[in-house]
Amino acid sequence: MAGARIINEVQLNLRQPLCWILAPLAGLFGFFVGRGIHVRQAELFSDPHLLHLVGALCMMALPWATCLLAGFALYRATGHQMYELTLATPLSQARQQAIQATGLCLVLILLGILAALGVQAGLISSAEKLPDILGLLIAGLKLQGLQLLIGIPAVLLFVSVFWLLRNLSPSPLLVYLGGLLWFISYMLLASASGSPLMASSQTPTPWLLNTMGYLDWFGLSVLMAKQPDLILLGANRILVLLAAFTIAFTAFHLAGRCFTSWAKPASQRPAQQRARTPAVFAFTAVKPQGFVQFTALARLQCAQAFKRPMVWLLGLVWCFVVLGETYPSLNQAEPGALLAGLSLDAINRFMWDLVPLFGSMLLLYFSDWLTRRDQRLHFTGILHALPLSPSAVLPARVVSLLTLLLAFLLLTALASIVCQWLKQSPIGLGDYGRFILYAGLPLAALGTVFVAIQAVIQNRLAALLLCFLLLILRFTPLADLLGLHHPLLRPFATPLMPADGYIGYSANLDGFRAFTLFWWLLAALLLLTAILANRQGRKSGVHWRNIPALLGLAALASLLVQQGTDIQTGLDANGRNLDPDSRAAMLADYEKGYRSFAELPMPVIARVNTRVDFFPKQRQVRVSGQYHLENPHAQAVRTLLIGEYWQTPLSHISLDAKAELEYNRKLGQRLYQLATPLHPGQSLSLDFSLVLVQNGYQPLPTHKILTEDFSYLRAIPYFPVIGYLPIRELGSEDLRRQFDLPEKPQQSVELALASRDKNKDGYDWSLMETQISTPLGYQSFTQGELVKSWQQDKRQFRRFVTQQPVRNLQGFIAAPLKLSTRHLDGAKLQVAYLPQHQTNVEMTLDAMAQTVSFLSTHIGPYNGHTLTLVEKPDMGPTGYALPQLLLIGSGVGFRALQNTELPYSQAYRRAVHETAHQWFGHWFGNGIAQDSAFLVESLAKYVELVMLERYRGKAAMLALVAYERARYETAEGHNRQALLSLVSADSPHDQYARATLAFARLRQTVGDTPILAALGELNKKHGYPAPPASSVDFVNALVRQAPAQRELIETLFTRPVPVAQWLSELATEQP
Amino acid sequence: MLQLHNIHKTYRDGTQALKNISLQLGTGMLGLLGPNGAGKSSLMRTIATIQAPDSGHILFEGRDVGQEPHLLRSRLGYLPQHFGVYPHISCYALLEHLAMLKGVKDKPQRRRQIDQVLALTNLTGHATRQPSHFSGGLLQRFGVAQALLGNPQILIFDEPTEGLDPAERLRLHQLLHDIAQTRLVLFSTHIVEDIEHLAGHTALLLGGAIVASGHTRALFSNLDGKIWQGPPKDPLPCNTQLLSQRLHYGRPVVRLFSEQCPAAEFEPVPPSLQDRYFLTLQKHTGEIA
Repeated sequence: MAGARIINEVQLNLRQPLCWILAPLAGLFGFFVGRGIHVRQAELFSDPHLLHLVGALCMMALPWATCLLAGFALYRATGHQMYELTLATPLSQARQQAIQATGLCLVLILLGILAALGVQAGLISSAEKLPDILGLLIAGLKLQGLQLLIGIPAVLLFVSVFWLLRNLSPSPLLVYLGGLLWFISYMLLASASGSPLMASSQTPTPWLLNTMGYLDWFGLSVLMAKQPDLILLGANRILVLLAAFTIAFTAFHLAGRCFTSWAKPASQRPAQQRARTPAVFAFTAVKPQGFVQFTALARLQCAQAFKRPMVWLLGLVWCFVVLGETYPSLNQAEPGALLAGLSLDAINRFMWDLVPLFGSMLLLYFSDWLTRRDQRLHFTGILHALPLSPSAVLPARVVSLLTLLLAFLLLTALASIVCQWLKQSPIGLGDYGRFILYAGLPLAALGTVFVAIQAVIQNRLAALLLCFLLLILRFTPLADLLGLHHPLLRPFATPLMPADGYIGYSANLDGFRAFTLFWWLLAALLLLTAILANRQGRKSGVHWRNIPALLGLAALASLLVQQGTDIQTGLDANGRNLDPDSRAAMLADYEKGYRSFAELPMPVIARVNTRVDFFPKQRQVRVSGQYHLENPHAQAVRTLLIGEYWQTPLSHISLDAKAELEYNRKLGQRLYQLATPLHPGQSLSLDFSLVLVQNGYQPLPTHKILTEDFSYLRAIPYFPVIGYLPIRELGSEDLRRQFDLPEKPQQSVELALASRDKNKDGYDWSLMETQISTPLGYQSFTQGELVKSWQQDKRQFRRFVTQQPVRNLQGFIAAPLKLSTRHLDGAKLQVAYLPQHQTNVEMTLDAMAQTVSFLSTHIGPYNGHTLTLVEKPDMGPTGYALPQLLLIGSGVGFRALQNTELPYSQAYRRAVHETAHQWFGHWFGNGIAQDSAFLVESLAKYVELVMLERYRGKAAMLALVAYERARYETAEGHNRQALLSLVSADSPHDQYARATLAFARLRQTVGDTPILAALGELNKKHGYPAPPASSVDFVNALVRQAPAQRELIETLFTRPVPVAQWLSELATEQP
Repeated sequence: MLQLHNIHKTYRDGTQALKNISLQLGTGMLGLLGPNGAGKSSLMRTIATIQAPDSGHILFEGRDVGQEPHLLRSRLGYLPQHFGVYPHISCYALLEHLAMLKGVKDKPQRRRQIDQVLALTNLTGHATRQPSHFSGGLLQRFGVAQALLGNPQILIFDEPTEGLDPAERLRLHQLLHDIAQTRLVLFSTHIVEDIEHLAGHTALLLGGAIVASGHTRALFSNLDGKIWQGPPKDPLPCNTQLLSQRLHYGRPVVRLFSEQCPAAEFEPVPPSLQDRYFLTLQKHTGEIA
């Protein structure tokens, strides 16, 4: 009998429209997951990839599917006023609920199977070459098996928890809230524990890792480890099942509670009997007024909303979410570094993900509640007979919804202010005002659209699905997967980026305003359409006679089109935009069209004269430049290939030689056939100019920041380039196959270096002379010494000249900063900073001076006379080194202070690292195309070790080693790539963390003497203008300096040996 | 005041709710009578402009309310058969809200009206309570109260006495009678006696169509001398039509239609609207069969 009842329950569930919709959605979602997570073709059907897909599917979809179905299935009787009918049956409430819960589990498992089938379909559709039938069958079985292994215990746990919630509250809101919190909490836990499903650079604490191993309800923490512990997996699954059954048992016993205990008993008073007189009806005439109705409706709806206990509970939970997110990390810049957290730091913790996501879900819920409330309460019969103006009803709903949104944002701000108060952090009310405005305006437009959609589409499920689709397009990669790359196809998104303490929101505020206006015009248009389409009691659908409204509709539509056009113009002003597919096609065409020029001799840029005029207020920079090109080869140059950046073409370019020009505008390539060949040693000039603007309509690129408070431009990629650039070739095997490009040989860096044509090695170094103009009060920086400074036409001019060639990677900066200077052996070291960020300046100068002094002594002199470190906004990399010019983020470099967690300052360490790049990157390295980043990044990490030990003590150095060890082990725990040597490795955790461990291990045995001697030897042989050094050259030099340690050196650097084999020998604590 | 011309309405599931309804309504009370599914509520909802007819016109003071529903709604008081109320709000506050929506924007006038309707429906003692906690009868009285707000020239009550105790039912009857002196009151009920006693005019609906309408008394006056009541007989006497079988002081009795006395046990009784109702029902059901 129980079996028949369960089958009946499943059949009942399957009859529901929600199930008809979820079933194909499950398959579709699985299909997009199967297609969307990119991997090499060879790994498409591999076990790790299948696991990754199923893990992502369960993590993203299972909580939502469960809470949607649970909200329906578990509340079916009460939601349709059948509770008393079901109560009066022989089957007890507890048993009925148990059957409902079981039916729900079965339906979810069925949906999981459909989703796994969808994943397989997605894989098949992305495969260039399908496995045979048996292979496909096995892959399918594996997917289903994984889905069941991961999904069944999770489903049982979710359903049991929702069953318990159902018996704790008559409102399904608790279930929906539970689903949302569950989803968010797993994302946070997965991120904090270093799950490969979540991009995070955090180093997880050991206890969290262990806990997740046992309690991860999907079991992914164990399954996705490099070597899954099957016993731990078994324990995990059993624990989850035990928890599920325990909670289900509790829910079962609570099921007997009578719901009528929640409702107050109705009471009656006896009717008052008295003698009556005839009814007197003598009312004066009334005239319904739209505005009065609007205010009455809005007021009542708001009052009704705020009187619901669930709203207060929701608010309280949200406060805790904000507190939980903000409090622990408010004063944290990075591990080992404290920040005097500002309001902006707090706001950044929740403004960019939690608030939009949670706020959107709240808007969806409340818009549905406002729209269906009258229907649900059976009040529509009375309401629809009232002389309500359609222009009162919908705007009243919008105002009520926006009032709720405002309350939500105010509550968020309040919770954050409490956090700040607890942390004694200065509270900036203006920042919170801006948060409410900038987060609230797009959300408000979204809410308005929700109201309009739900007013027009009578079917509740269809309306909710359409609204949900908008959210999916907004918050998931679905838009990208569908090829919808244009920013206006990401509903209600704006280009606004997280503000920092340096430039605030200024970078993208104009873009934010433009996009927000667009969304608001769209919302107003849809709302007006919904008002006009209101056909309550009318024969025809639209109020065609309402001419003013129709005119308003037309006006809004034209304004919307105009605004959209303006946005497109604004996007185009920043430069040509290409979606990823078009960009890949363009790069493929570039390689096919110009690869042959890699074999032809090209002149080098011997000297660059540049004039850069910054206009920060207008967010514009004008550049005019001249390249002095020389032929350094033994043969003549007959053809000159000059490339420009495809996104921002040059305004002007000219060659001071007669030549036939072929210009490919699409690829930005100019081919000059010289009338007279450029003979060896000869030179010619190339003049160019360009104007760059940045209006904030797009996220800021890393190397072009044009704002009023900080302007920075890197020459590459905006300046012309000479010759063919192999760096532009497509690296992905799959893309190369797709575009019929030849396969790139998969070989180690050592082999590639050994088999290369050494004649193509060479530095791209030039002399530079630069004139920069800025408004008065601005500093400017670039490569070279400041030789002249003057004012003219209310602008500040400065001229910089390099005394010797430097690597041709120019950067130009203009900002109203303060300067602090120190002189060291003829070199001027300076730090440019915001006046309020003075604390770390002296320490930064110490780091620069100590590093310059040390490396000048042990390797070679600093290649320049000025070294400037500039405080930059917190966007892009935290630190970046150009020749003679360093940029370090404001938060980590200037605001952060050392805490007790680490015995060294991260700001000091970072300044050392970036200074070291003047040798490793701009003296050694970047001269050989086939080389890796070992000589650049890994050697800079070595310098960190040396400087910390030398100037901060051995404990500090060992602390860095321990920190990098933890980072390495976390990343490596999920790394399934083939093992490479350190020299060949290209992943960040190898280049930084593993490199630190390798050098620490080496130093432990041989000390610094042979390492420094090897670097000195490298300098003698490969210092400019000698041919550049490679990573292998350094390793060979190291072996020559410490021949007895050859085995160790090769193990650490040039052999693909697991780090675990030698890591135990590495000391991380002072004895 | 109100004219209905050839109103048709078919729902999406194919149910033909209203078929060619035409009525002319003026001041006074019109009762709508019919079995379940006859179209009474559909007709009321259509007149109240809650739903639009598929074809036909409703004219109010000569103007088509299909194009201007607000014209009628501003002069309408409507009580649906089933309705709910908002939670967390007192009876008084909800009436005030509805009064504002109806256009009673002057606060003192609004308060006067609310006090008046509360008194008329005997809800004054419950003004501060939440209608979401009312019993069925109290809620029904609330529904009547809200319908009386504003300046209703037309009042439509769908099953207004449902849930009311006998005293309140009589009270409501008197109220409806008083209102109907100067307004059009349209109401439906399953209690035929209510229509017989209250409504000056009656329309009998069957299968979406009006099968009989006119002065209430005139609808059954032609049955004088043709209605007989007596004990149940099996088989029925010849040339008789069984109208109803009921219990009378615990004993079953039947009412028959016959041109002459069907049997000795039967005695003539005054005809009622219910007799007319059953007779018409049988005639049309037989036609359909």
